[in-house]
Amino acid sequence: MSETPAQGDWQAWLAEHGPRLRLIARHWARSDADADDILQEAFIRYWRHQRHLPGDPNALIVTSIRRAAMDLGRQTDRRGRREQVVAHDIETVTLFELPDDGRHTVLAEAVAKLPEDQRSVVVLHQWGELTFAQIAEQLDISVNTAASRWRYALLNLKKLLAETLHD
Amino acid sequence: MTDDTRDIENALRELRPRALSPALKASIARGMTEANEAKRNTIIPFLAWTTPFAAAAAVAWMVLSPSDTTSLHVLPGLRLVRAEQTPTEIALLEPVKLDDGTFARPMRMRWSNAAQYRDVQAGAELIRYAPHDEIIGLVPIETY
Repeated sequence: MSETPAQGDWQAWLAEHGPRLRLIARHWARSDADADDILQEAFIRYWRHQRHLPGDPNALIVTSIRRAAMDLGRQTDRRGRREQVVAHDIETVTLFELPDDGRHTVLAEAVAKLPEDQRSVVVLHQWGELTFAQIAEQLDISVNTAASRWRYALLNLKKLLAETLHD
Repeated sequence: MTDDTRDIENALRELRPRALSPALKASIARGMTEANEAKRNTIIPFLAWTTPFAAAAAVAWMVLSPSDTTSLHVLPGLRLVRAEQTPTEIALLEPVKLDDGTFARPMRMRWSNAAQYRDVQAGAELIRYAPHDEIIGLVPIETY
């Protein structure tokens, strides 16, 4: 997704990119319902107002999702309706189309067990399709930090997989 | 990445995010429809508000701008016999990214002045055409 989507069938565009964008929204949301609201808000805003802006459209919509998540988080805080579900409690396995082999399920669970900072980089790099430079901008960290978090995340996943399969 | 983690990277690529639920798709479709209707309902009030402002800005701009004919009045023998100004065209251009990371649409004002001078004694004429193409401001865009 490096080119600005053309005017026309937004449904086709959403069908292609929606699942991975929903995954990103869920990463920054407190609940599944919030993730749906965030994606809807960010997508409509992007499609109507930001699609023609200069720059990488993928980075634009990821930014839109992050800001929608921050706004929703602030609104929720203001209402005093703090939910107990937080990011690291996400049941990651429900976010993927998992084949009937145990390995993918174990991997999805391992992703959920990653430290928050590493999981953010994994989500944004793998499913957000962002470069480390773009991730650095999103998370306000250096490019080297983003790259090293990715590397540590992979090593952690390998370790978690080995432990689980060994058990 | 290293060979140590290449298998993990490959496995991650095989993890496909689940498709959007029918309820979410329907909700987004409703939101898109409502957004279209909202735009139709707001475009006329928006124009009603901005058009007088743009017109006032254009008039102020032209009144305050230096005259194109000033320098020629002092030339001996030349007399202004005709002056025309085209209607002013105001347009919002494609968005641009500003230095602070925000986006805005430049507002362009375009018009032209034509002045015809005549030297009766010499039987000479001078027509001066002065096109103007100015960026007179930036309209901020909400980039959420």
